Amino acid sequence: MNDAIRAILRDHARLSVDALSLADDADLFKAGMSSHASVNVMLALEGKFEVEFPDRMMTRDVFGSIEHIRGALEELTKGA
Amino acid sequence: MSSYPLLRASGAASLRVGTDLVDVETVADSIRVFGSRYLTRLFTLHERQYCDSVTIAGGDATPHFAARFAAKEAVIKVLRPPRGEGVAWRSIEVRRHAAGFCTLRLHGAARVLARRGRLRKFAISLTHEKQYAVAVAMCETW
Repeated sequence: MNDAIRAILRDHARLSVDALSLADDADLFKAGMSSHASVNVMLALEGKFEVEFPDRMMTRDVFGSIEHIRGALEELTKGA
Repeated sequence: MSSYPLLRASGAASLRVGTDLVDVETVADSIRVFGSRYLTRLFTLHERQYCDSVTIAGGDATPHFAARFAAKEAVIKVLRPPRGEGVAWRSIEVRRHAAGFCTLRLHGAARVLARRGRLRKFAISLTHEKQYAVAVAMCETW
């Protein structure tokens, strides 16, 4: 799952560093992702994993790192 | 407790301000890639109808969408949501008035945060050029 997240970050997050070499706990906003780019990441994740992020997950924390994104996706896909 | 007890004691309010800058081209890219899913996720019906009216009139709606996204981010900076508390973009609505000025309407989580934070008298100002859109939000704390 982390590789798929990294690929989406590479394509949509507009990071100033190589998304494929980012640590799982690296701060994506510090790595150059803007709030607007995080919307694109969210929409791309929804398309890839066939989920919908609820309003309560619209936080910088959820999209702040690969491991946080993974945690949110695991919660959304649990029982699917 | 207020940082300005004398002001509070006299009934005066303090101000809170937030601003945001958006690259219009990034919004154009998002519309191209995600289409209506992007627009309906971020913008209320009123906001989309206003921007559509720009297109119908022969203009480019993209800077108007970008300015509205900047407004939502500026308001989130004013609301200062606690860590882990989400604010849906559609819960912050820019209302465009016939005279040309804009006001804010808060719904849902944004409205709850404003009440809880004792924030009132929100005001918004938007501007955009071809490349960038900017918004400034302001409110009074009481």
